Amino acid sequence: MTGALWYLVATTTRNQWRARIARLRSPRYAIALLLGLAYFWFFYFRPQRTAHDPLGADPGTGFLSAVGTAAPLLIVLYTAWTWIFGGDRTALAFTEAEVSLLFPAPLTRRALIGYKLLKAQLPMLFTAALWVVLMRRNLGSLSPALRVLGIYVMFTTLNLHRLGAALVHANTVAHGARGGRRTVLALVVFAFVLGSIAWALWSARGAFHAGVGNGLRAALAALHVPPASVAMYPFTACLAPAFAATASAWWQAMGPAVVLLALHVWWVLRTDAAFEESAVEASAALARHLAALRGRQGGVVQIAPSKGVRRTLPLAPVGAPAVAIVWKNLLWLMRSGAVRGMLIPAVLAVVLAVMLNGEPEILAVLLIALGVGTTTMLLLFGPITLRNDLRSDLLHLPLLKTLPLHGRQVVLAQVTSGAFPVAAAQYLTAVVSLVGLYGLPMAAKWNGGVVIGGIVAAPVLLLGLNGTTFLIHNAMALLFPGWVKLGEHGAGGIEAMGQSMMTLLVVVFCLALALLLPAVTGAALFFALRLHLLVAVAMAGAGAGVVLLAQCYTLSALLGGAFERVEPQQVG
Amino acid sequence: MIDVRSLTKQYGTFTAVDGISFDVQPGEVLGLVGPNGAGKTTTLRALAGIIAPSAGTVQIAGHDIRTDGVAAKRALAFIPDEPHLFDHLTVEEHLRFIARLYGVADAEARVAPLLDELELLDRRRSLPTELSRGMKQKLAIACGLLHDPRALVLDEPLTGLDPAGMRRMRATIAARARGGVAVILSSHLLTLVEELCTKLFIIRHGRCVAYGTIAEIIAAHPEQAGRSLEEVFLSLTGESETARGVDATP
Repeated sequence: MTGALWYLVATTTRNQWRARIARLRSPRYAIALLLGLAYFWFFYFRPQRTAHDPLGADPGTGFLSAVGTAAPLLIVLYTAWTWIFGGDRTALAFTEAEVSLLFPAPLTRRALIGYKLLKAQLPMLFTAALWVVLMRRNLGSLSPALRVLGIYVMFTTLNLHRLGAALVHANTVAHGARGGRRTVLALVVFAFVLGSIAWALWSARGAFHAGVGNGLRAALAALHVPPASVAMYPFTACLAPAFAATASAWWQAMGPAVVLLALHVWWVLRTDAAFEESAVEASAALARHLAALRGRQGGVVQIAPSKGVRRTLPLAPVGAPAVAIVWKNLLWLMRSGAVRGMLIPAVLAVVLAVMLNGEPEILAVLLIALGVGTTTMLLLFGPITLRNDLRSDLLHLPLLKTLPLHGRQVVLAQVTSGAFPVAAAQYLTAVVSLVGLYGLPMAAKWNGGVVIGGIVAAPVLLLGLNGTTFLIHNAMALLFPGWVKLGEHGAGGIEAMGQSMMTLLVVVFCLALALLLPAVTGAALFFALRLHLLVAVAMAGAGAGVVLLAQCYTLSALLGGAFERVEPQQVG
Repeated sequence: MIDVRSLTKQYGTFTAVDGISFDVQPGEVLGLVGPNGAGKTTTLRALAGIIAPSAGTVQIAGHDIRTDGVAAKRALAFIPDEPHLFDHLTVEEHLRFIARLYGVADAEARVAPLLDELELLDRRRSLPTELSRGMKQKLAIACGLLHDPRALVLDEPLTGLDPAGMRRMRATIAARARGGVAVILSSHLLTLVEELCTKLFIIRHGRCVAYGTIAEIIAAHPEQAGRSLEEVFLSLTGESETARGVDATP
C-alpha cells in the first residue's frame, strides 16, 4: 500500500477524533457522554460484592463454554447467509470521495483493498475492547489484553471472509460464466460445510422424541463427530482464542487462528487477482462484441434502453400531506428488497410445518422459537436494518425543511414508515406459527382464550413496540447526528459492530424505560379482567399498546420541535 | 410577496448575514449577487425555512416563516444549486410526492406538460441515479414549479443545464414573473441577472452593498455610470483589484 494511503488513514483518524472532541463543547453531546459513562460505570465497573464459590470454580468458565459451543454455529449461519444471499455489499463500498479521488489515481485494486482493510482495523480493535468491557464479569481469568487480541483476530478473519465473499460474488455477477468458474471451488467447499452440519443435525432428530433437552444435546454431540467436526473446524479455530478460558489455552488456540487468518489474507488477494483477470477477459469479450455490432450496423453502436417497468404504489394527489413521506419510504422498502427479507421467517414457518408434519414436538419447538425469535430480532435489529426514515432522509435535510409540514408530522411519518412494515411482518410470523401449532395434538390442552386474546391485541402492541424502537433510533439521529451514521446503509460490517452494540445498548435502555408505564397499564387491566381470560389478555395487550402509541405520539411532537430547530451544518 | 426585515444569521461568533432587508413584489425578479462566501446561500436558506434566522423576520405571502412556516412554505418554491432527490423515487414519483405534499388536485394533468417542457417525459420512469446532472437539476426545477408557487427562490438555477436547457429555464423564469410570481434569483452569471432581474441586491460579508434597480444603484453610486454590470459588481464588492491582478497575470 502506498504512503499516500497510509497518510490518508492516519490524518482521517486524527481529524475524526478532533471533530469528536470538538463536538463535546455542545452541552447536548457533553451531557450524553457523561450519562453514557455513568451508565457504563454503573453496569460494568461499579464495585460489587461477588458470591464466593466454595469450590473455587472460575465463574467465567461456564459462560465461555456455553458461548464457545453456540458461537461457531452462529458464525456458520452468518457466513452461510453471506454466501447464499450474495455477499455484503457494504464490504466493497467506498465513500464518494474515495471513488472520486482514489479510483482515478494510479493505484492497484489490491492497494485499494489493502486501504479498506487498514481503515477497518481501529474500529475492530475498539469493538474487541468493548466486548471485553461488556462481558468482563463472565470472561474468566484470562488477561483482558490477550482476550482483546483473541477477539480482534476473530473479527479480522471474519472481516476478511466477508470481503472475500463479496469479491467472489462481484466476480460472479460482473463476469457471468467466466467469473462463476472461479467461484466454483469456494462454493463447493461451503456446500460441504453446510451439508455436513445439516446432516449431523438431521441425524440427531430422533433424540428429540426423548425430550427437547436430549435432542439439543444429541445435536451438539453430532457436531463433534466427522464429517461435521471437520467442517466446523475452521469456525471453532477462528473463535477459540476469543473464548479461551486460560492463558495456556489461548496460546494453543492462537496458532491455528493466525494460520486461518493468513489463509484468508492469501484467499482475498488471490480472489482479487482472479477478479482482475476476469475483468480483462470480459473487457476483451466486450470489445469483440462491440466490433461485431459495428460491423453489422455500419459503425453505429445501438445502446438498448435499460429502463424496465418499476412497480409502484398509488398515491392520491390530495389528502393528508404527511402520507406522501410514508409512501416514499414504503417505495424505498419495496425497491431495497427488505420486504422479501422480512417475509423469510413466515415462509420458513410454513416450510417447517410441511417438512416436519410427522414430528409434532420438534415442530412445536421450532415454531415457538421462530415466532419468539423473529419478534425479538425484528424488534431489536429491524430498526438497525430498515433505515427508511430520518436516518436516511436527514441527508436531504434542506429538501425536507422546505416541505410544507410541521416537524411533528415529519417525525411521525418517518417513524410510521419503519414501524408499520416491521410490526406487520412480526404479526404475520406470529399468526403463521400459531396456526402451525394449532395443528399439533397437544393444542387440545391449551387455553384458546390466551391465544385468541393475543392475536387480537398483537397488532396494537406490536405497532406500539416498533413505534417506540423506531422513535428511539430516529431521536438518536436527530439529536446526535454526529454520533449516528446517516444514510440508508448505516454503519455496516464487523468493523462497525462496536458502534452498533453501543446503539443497541442505548435502545434497550430507552426501551426498558418506555415500557414501564405500558407494562403497569397492561398488568392493571389484566388483573382487573382476569376472570375472563380472553378479554383480559386482549385488553391488557391492547391497553399497553395504546399507552405505547400515546407515548410515541407525544415524543414525536417533542422531536418535531427538534426537527424544526436542526440545521444542515449540524447534520454534516 | 417576499418581505425580509433585518435578517441576521450567526454561527457562534461568526455573522454570516448581518441585518439585511429587502422585499420582492409579485412580478418582480430580484437578483441576489455577491462574491463567494458573501451570505447569499445563507439568505436563501433562511427564506426557504431551512435555517432559522438569529434575528429579523421573513414573510412569504404574508406568513412569517418561523411562526407560520407551513403556510409560508406552501406559497414558496426553493430550487437549490445542488438538487436533493430521493434515490428510490422515479422522476414521475417525485412529482406525485410533491403533488400530495402541496395538495395539487390536478397533478395528473400538469405532470406530463411539465415533464415535456423540461425534456424529461421519456425519462419519467428513471431513478435519479440514471439521470445526468442536468436532468437532475431539471427534475428539481419541475418539483419546484409543479404547485404553481407564488414566490420562487432560485440558487444558481442554470448549474448543470445544457445551452438549450439554460435558454428554456430563462424563459420559464421570465414567464413565471410575468404571471405574477415574485422571484429571487441568485447567480454568478451576471448576464443572466442583467437579462432577467428587475432589481438587484448586492451582498458582501453578509451586509447590503447596494439594493434597487440598476438605475437606482447607479444614482446612489454616480461613479459607476457607464460601466457594465460586471464592472459595477466588481467595484462595489471590492473585487475589482483582485480581478485586475488576475487579468495582469501573464
